[in-house]
Amino acid sequence: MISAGIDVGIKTVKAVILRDGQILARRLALSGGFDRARSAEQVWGKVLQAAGLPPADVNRVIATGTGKWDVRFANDYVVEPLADVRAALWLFPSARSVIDIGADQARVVRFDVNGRILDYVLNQKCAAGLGTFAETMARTLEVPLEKMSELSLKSQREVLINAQCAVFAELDVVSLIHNNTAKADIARAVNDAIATKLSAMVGEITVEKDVVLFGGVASNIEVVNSLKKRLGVDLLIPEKPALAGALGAGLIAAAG
Amino acid sequence: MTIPKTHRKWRTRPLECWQKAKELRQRFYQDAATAREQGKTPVEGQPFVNAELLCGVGNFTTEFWTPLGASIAAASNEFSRQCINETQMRGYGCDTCGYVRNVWGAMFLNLHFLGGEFPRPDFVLEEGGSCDIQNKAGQVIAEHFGVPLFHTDLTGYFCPANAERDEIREEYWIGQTLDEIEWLEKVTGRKFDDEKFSETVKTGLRIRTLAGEVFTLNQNIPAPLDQKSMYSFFILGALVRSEQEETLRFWEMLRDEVKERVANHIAAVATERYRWIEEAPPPWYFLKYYRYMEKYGAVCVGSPYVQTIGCHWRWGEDGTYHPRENPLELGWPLNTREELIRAMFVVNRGRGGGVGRHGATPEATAERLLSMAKAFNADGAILPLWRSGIGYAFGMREVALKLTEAGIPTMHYEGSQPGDKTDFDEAQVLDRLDVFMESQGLRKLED
Amino acid sequence: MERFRKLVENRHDSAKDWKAKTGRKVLGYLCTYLPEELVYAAGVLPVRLLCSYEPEDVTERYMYGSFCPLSRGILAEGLKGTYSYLDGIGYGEGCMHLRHTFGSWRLHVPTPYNYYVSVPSYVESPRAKTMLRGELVVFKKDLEEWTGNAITEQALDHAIEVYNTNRRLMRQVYELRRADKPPISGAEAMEMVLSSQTMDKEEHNRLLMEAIDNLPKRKDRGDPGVRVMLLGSETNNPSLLRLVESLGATVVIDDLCSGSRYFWNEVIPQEDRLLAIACRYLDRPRCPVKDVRYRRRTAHIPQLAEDYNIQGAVMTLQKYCHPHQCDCPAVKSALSKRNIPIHFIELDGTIPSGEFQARIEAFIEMFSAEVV
Repeated sequence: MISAGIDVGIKTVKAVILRDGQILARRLALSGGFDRARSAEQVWGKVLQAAGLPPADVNRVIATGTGKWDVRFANDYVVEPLADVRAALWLFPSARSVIDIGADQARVVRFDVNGRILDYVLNQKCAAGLGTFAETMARTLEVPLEKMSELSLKSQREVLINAQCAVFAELDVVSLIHNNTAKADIARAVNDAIATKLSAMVGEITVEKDVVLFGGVASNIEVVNSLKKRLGVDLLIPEKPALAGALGAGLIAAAG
Repeated sequence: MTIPKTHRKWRTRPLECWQKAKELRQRFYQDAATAREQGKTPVEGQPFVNAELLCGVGNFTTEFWTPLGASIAAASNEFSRQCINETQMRGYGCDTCGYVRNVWGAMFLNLHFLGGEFPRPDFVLEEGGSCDIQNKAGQVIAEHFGVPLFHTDLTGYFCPANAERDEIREEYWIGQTLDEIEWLEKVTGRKFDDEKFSETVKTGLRIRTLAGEVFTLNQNIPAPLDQKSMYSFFILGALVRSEQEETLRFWEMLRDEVKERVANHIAAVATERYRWIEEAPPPWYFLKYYRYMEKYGAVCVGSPYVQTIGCHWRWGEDGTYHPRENPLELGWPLNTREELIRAMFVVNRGRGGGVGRHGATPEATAERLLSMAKAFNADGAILPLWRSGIGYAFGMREVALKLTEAGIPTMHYEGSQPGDKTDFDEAQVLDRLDVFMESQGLRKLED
Repeated sequence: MERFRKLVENRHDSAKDWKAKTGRKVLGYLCTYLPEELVYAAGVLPVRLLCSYEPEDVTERYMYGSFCPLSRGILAEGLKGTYSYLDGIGYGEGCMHLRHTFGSWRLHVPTPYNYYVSVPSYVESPRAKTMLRGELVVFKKDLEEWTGNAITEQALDHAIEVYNTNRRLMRQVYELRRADKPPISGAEAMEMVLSSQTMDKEEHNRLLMEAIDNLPKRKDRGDPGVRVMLLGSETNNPSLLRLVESLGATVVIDDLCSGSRYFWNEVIPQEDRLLAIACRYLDRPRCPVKDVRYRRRTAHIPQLAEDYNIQGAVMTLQKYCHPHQCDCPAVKSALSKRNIPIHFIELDGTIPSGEFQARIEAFIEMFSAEVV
C-alpha cells in the first residue's frame, strides 16, 4: 500500500509518501501564496521523484491544510486536527495532546489513545502568536526568520511588548527600534510575546501529557523554551515538525 | 454519541405560515417607515418589556434598535457598511455595538433600509438593563432629533437568588413604569386607555405562551423547524404593533401547523442526523451557515436566544421543556395597572437581552444550554464570540468550558457583531464548521 | 509625596499589614460604585483591585479577548494569586467588562466571600434612590452575617466621617492644583488617590494632612508647561501621567475614577444613613455607564476645564472600552466649544511606550507653537 499526504498552507506546501507505514520521501517548498495549486503540483512531482514512483503507483492521496481544496489530484481531504492527531500518535504513542503552530493557523487538540478528539481549540482571528506574525516581526527587525531564536539568546535585558494584538505589538516593536533598543532584546520580546499568546490559547483547553509540538514555529527554540516554561510541561518535537500535517494525512490515506 | 453511518431521509415540506410571517414582518417595518402618512405615532426605542404600554396612548409604530440593526445588516451589506462608516466617522468607536452603529448611521444619513427617510420619532423610549451600549443608544437618538426621551432602568445582580432583592427590582420597575404612563400622557397629550392596555397585555401574554409551545415542539425528532426559520417567526413575539390580535392569530396558525408536522414526522431538514444548539444571535448577513451544516445532516434545533426575542418556557421536572403558564393561566389578578405591569415584567423581562443580561451568570447560561442540549437531544453547541457585541460575548468562554466539561462538543466562531459584517471571514467560519463536524467523525453527505 | 508612591507600589503590603495588625477581614472591590462606607462600618477594609500592566496568559480561558485589558488584567492578578490575602470581593455594578471579571473571579479564584451590589444606571431616576437604598439594606445584612459584626449607626457615622474627611482633604489637594504653578504633579495626585483606595482611610487621612501641611514648604516645581486634563477609562497607571508630564505638560485635573471622580462629592448626612450613602453614589460625577440620560458629563467636564484653566485634554481609552467610545463625540464637542483640543489614545494593558510618547509630544507641541 502506497499512500501520500499533502499539506497546503499559506506559506509552504508539504508532501509525504509512505509505503506500508514507512516514510519513503518527504518534501517542503514555498507555496507562493496566490499560486498554491501549482506549487502543490510541483511539490507533488518532486516528492514522487524522490520516492522514485510514478503517480499511478500511489493508491491514495489525502490533502489537508487551509489550502487543501487546491489539491485537485487528491482522492480525499481531511481537516487539520485529525491529521495532527494521527501524526502525533504515530510519532509518539504516549501523546495525548498536540499543538500545531503554522503560518496562519494554530491549534491545540486533546485526544484519547484511539485518536478520538476530546477537545480542541483553534486560534482566534488575531495574528499574534502565529507564524505569519513571527515572520512580519523578523522582517521589521531585518533578521532572517530562522535567526530570530539565535538572536534572542544574546538578549541582555527583558522588554515587554503587547502579547494580545498583532498590530499593537508591531507598533511596540517600532517604538523600541526608535528608542534604539538592542535588536537582541527586541527579538526576545517578540519571542516572549508569541509564547505568551500561544500559552494563553493552549490554556483555553486542558491539555494532557504527553504534549507534542508541530509546525514551523517549533523550529524557534526560544519560543519553544518560553512556551515550555509557561505551560510547565515538556514538549515532544519530531525531527521535521513542519511536515507532521502531511504525514498525518498520509497515514490517514493508508488507513483507507 | 454514536453517529449513524447511513441516514434516513425524513419527509419534509415548506411551512405554510412562512408567507404570512414574512408579510407581518414586512408590514411592521413598512408601518414604521410610513407612520406619519398613516396617522400613527412613530416611536423609536427599545421598549422590550413595556412596549404594550404604547397601546394605551393610541396607534403607534416602533422601531426597536436590536431588530432594526439586525434587519439593516441582513437587508444590505452595502447599506450597513455605509451606516457603520457614518457612525464611526462621527467619532463613535468601532467597538460600539454593531446594531447601534447601523441604527445611528441610518439616522445620521437620514435613510431607511426599506427606502425613504429615517422616520423622525415623536419620542424615544429607552429600556436599560440588557447591555451598556443599548442603554446609551436612546440618548444619541433623542438628541439627534431633539425629541423627548424616557428611560426605564433595570439593574441586576449575580447569584445566589434572593427574593428580597428580586422584590426590590420589581418594585423599581413598576414604579418607573407608572411614571412612564404619566409621561406618555404628557408627551402625547392623550389620556391613557387602561382598557386597551389591559387587552394588549393579555394578548401579549398569550402570544408568548404560544411561542413557547412552538419552541418546545422542536424537542421532537425530527425537528419540525430549523433555527433560521425560528428566528424569522420569533421576532414576531418581540415586536409589538397596535394590531396585536393579528399577531396572535398568526401564532395560533403556526402552533397548529407545527403540531401537525410533529404528528406526521415532517422534518425541517430531510437529512437530520445530528442536532445542535446555539446561543446569542447568529451573523444575520451569513445565515447560510445553517444550510452549510445541513450538508452534514446537522440541524440547529434551538437557541435560548429565542426566549429573549419572544417566547416563554419552563423547564419541566422530567427534564424536558414546556411552554410556561402565563399569568392569565395562573389566575393572577390582572385588573390594576400595577398588576398588569407586574405580569408584563415577569413575562417580558427576558425579551431583548443577551447572555450579558443583568443577573444571567455564565453558570446559569451554561446550565440552561446543558439542560436544553438534553431535552432537545442535541449533540453539540456553537457559541459565537462577538467582539463588539459585548453583551453576547459575555461569559461565552465560561459557558463553553462548562459544556465541554459536560461532554458537549462546542465550537466558537468570531466576528465583530451580528449586525456588523466588517471583518467576518466566511471562508474561515466554514473551515471551522468542517473541523467541528469532522473532529466528531462526521463527513458531508453525498447529495 | 514619595510616600504615596511607595504605598501604591507596595499596596499589597499595606493591606496585608493591616490584616495582620487588626486580625480583621479585607474585601477587594472592582468598581468605585461599591458603597465602601458600609464595608468599612462592618470593620472590613475595602481595597480596590488594580492590575499590574504586564502581558498575561491566564485569562484567555475564561474571558474572550474583547473584554478590556484592565478587566482581564485584574482577573489575571486574581488567578496568579496576587490577591490571595483577600477574604472577599465586592462589585458595585458598573460596566460589563468588570462584571465579567467579577463573574469569572467568583468561579476561579478561591476568595471566600463575594457580593454584587446592584446600582442603577439611570442614576437621576426619581426611583433610583429608593432602589439603591433597598439594595444597601440587603447588603448590610449580608455583611453582618459574614463578619458577625452588627453595623451600628455609630459605626456608619464613623465610616461616613472618615470617608468624607478623606474626600475633603483630597478636594483640598486638588484645589491647590488650580494655581498657576501647581505644587504637585498629576502623577503624584493619582498616587494619592490610589493609595487611599488601597489602605485604611483613617491612616490615609493622617498622611494627607501631613502632606498638605508640608506642601507650602515644597520647592518650586518650575514652569508647569501645558496644562492638561486627563480623562477616560479606568486606569491605575501613574507612570502614564509621568510620561505625559515629562514632555512639557502638567496634568492639573482629571475626570477618572482613579482620580477626581472617586472623591469629588461627599455623603450628605441625614437620619437615614443608608439613604444618605445611596444618594452619594448616585450623585457622583458620572462614569459613561451611569450617564445614560441627561449628559451630566458634558457639563461637568467643561466646568473642570474652566476651573483648572486647562489648555488641552487627553482621553485615554482602554481598548474595547465601549462606554467611553460612545461618549467620545459628545465630550469632544463640549470641549471644542471652549476651544479645548482633545487627543484620544487607546491603551492596551501594557505600559505605553514610544508610540504613545510621539503622539503626546505632537499634541503638546501644538500649544507651544501657539505661544510663539
